[in-house]
Amino acid sequence: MDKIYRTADEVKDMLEQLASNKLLCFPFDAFGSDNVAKIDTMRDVIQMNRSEAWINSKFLTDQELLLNEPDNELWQVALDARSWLNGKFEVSDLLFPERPTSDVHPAKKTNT
Amino acid sequence: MVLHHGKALQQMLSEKGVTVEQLMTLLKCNRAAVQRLYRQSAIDQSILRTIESLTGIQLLKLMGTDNPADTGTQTGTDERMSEGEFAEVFLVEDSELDAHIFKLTFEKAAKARKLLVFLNGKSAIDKLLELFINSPEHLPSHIFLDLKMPVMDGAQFLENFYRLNLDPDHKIKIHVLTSSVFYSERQTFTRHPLVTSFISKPVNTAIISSIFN
Repeated sequence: MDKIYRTADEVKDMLEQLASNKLLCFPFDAFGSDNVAKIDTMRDVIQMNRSEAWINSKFLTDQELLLNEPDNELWQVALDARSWLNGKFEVSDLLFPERPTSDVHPAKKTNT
Repeated sequence: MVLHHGKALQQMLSEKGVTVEQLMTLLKCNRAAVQRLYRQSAIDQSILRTIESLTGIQLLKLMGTDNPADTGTQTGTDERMSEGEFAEVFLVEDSELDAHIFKLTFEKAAKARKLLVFLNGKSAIDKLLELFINSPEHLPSHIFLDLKMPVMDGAQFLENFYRLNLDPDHKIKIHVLTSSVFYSERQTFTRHPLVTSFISKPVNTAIISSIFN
């Protein structure tokens, strides 16, 4: 298993930020990719401290494993999350732009 | 010398004052994805076209890739299709045999109409999204959708079609194709608000004619 470079508090904070981002982000990007699925993937990698080998095995097909840069978005975001665990990314690098508050379903809004 | 698309894109957007944050907002993706895009030596033409339409900056001309034949990206259809291609009718079907039967029947019943075949729901959704963003007037009027497919099946296609709101004016008619004999499955899709009709495979000329005539 890969060494963790992030503290437990940092991991907890990141998981919370991703959970919040999942509710508020645009569900799809401009190319039709599922942002919610990407956030779920990143949360899984961070929460379970998934290794790069596990990520390759989980997300890449046999053919994709032979390519240098496979075009597989879930694999890429999983590696981004792994890189964050390794201290290579900032939290803000992984969060998706959020919808204007008026777009968010009333049930998702929190009363302060 | 081969142009590095990512670097060229970064430079062009930077010259036009488009920041990484602005591009993230336009593309609805995170910073890591934008950085990855800037690292790519060859960027798919459909991606450049989407960025072009969102930013209003003529990237394809500046990069010298405005001729579709230059890059000719694979879009997931059964044939090599140029980016700007469109058709009045889409068939989303993974089985080559069923697709071939459909094509033959379609040619007989709806001669003047153009048909594009997609091997799974995802490639069809990608194409619909591209048309929706770049040229909504070229969206198909009919989609024939198989239910059981790899990558993205018929039900997932319908879910994404709805979530992306690809047809706000409800102009596209979706016909579900299946060889299933299960009554419950038929009932589920017959009642589905996006589904216009439910057609059993193999299709015949009379059914296709009744749809188009």
